[in-house]
Amino acid sequence: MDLYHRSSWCAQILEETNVHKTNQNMEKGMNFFWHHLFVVFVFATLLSGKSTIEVVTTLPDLREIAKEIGGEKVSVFSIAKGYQDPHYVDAKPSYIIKLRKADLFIQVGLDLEVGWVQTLLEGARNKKILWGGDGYVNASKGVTLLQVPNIDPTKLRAEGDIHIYGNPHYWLDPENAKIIAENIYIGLVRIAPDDEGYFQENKRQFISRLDQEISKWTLMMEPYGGRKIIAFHNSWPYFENRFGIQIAGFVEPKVGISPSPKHIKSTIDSMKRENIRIIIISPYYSKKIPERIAKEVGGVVVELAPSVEGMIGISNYFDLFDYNLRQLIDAFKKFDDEKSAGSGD
Amino acid sequence: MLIHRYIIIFVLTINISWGQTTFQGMNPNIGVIGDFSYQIHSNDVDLDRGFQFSEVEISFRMVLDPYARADFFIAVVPPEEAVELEEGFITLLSLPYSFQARVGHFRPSFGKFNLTHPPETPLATLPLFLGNFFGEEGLAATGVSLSALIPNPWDLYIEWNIDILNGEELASFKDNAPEDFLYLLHLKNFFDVSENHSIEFGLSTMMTKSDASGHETRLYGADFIYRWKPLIFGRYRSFTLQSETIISRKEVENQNINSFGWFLFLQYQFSKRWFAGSLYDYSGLPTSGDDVERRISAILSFWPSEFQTIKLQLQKSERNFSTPRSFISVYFQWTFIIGAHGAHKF
Ligand SMILES: [Zn+2]
Repeated sequence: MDLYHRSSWCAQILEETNVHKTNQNMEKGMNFFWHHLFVVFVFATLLSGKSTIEVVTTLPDLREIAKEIGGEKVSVFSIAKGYQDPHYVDAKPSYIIKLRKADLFIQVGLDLEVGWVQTLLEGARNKKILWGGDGYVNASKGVTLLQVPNIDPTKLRAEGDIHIYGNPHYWLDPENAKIIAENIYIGLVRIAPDDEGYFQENKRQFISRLDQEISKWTLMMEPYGGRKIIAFHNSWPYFENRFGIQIAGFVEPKVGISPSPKHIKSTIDSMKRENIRIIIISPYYSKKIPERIAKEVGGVVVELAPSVEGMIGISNYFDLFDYNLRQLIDAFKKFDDEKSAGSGD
Repeated sequence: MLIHRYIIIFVLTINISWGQTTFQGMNPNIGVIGDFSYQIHSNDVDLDRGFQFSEVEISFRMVLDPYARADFFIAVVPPEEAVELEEGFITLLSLPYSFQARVGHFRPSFGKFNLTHPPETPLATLPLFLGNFFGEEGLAATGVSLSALIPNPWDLYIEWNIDILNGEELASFKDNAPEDFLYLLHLKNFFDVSENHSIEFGLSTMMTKSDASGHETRLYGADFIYRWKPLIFGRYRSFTLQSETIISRKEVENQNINSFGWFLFLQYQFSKRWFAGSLYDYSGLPTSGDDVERRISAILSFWPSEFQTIKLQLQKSERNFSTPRSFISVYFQWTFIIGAHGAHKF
């Protein structure tokens, strides 16, 4: 869709090349050649421009939902990888190149990407996707936020590196994917109103599949309602709420703060006391301390994917929950079996 | 100076009271950085030591409208409590033809290191050549800057900018007539070698029109950064190699003064909060072809959180002018930030 740049760049090269021609006869042939090449370029530009909407998202989860709604009308790219900590992405200039050509930009919003999105958006010089532009989508619009801090602002940081507008990891509740889909749908219609019907149908299909899967997942998790686990970092409240598990504590004493020996000890004590055996963690955190704690309590560290492509084999939004719930259920079962084997003696 | 201080206090008060009302959304991002250090400087004869509070840097940053943002950085420098405008500029984000422009007082992109405010660099001291060729705080000047990305079929990041600046206060240009502008041209290139490795290099040149007697000063610079940062464990391990160089050619009566400076900086992050670095630093003086100084430094930094950094820097300096000729310095620097600490530049 970056029609201006590609065509002007071609034209410039063509002009420059034309200047250097000397031979009259050759010139005729060359003119013919360049003329045709130019036509081909223009067509290619027009075709590539017309055929797909370039969508850039901050996270792969948004990318996958955008793909569901946009279907064949969009080509999608996510800046962060699913196995990367989304709070700390380097604002590499190569992402600016992607954003420069984007027609639609979708972010999680709140303050998740606060350390890197602004630099990238401003560097892109692309009016369409700047805040307030037709091609800018904040996927959090309409999401009911959890853990909105109610703290005197001057003491916020005493809680560590907390999210000041509320917890932004809302894509980990599949119900919220409906709201995300709606926001993306509105954005797509804004920039490609002719395809409204197509996007609407895709959205309908996505939501109906989502409903089916949510019933399936809820059923899978039913036997484990109220089970307590420990999380390394506070990124799972939406997941916890949806699937009825209970996150009883964190390995990090405060957000982003490494645990002290005292905190490790108290985590071990409370895990033993409450018979908690599972610690969940995202792949981008060091597993050293959680593994030490797990060993101490005879438990296990379970790596859950915080995003699509966070673990091998998770290639779309549905895989994300299939994978994570399977991991959790396997761990719960393992300890249940151990327990029943133990009581059998 | 006192008046300046009251203005700042006044501005802060307004913002604080705004913060408590519904106008919060109209509040710019405010950040305050304190830069405290304990320093020891010693040679064979003397030992100098003491606490230093280098500066308090106050920043106000905000998007003005859909097309522009404004940034102000004001420093209060003890003990004179001088108030300095470090930067104050508006950036027009998306001009026609994808141009971007900056107008005001800012740190121009001669090289890469200069773009970072001194308290936020990984070093307790600036590289020598920034001080020698520009000024104590590096290069900052008033003027305009225009930049654009160069479209290319390989989708590489290639950005040029041209700046027209007032620069009569900069060390390299001090004796030029004040009405002469400085012209700066910079080219920035960035490549992702792979997901975890990247290379950035830039070329800069800066010149003045001739002074009253027809003399010119030209500066040439090159900068290079190689970064390794694994995407998956990027918060625990990383490595940076950064080098920059400057060549100066200054015409004076009947001759040219050629001088040169460069540095090489290596930094390895060996855990989430710890970095070890070393710096080799060499610089001449723009006004002399013979005077040179060099330093070698070792730096250990600890980040208790994103909002504080503690650095220990050991440094050996030598020079062939002024006394003492060689000395050893120890910096124990503590910088701390409250409020917004803008998006990290890459
Ligand atoms: Zn978070």
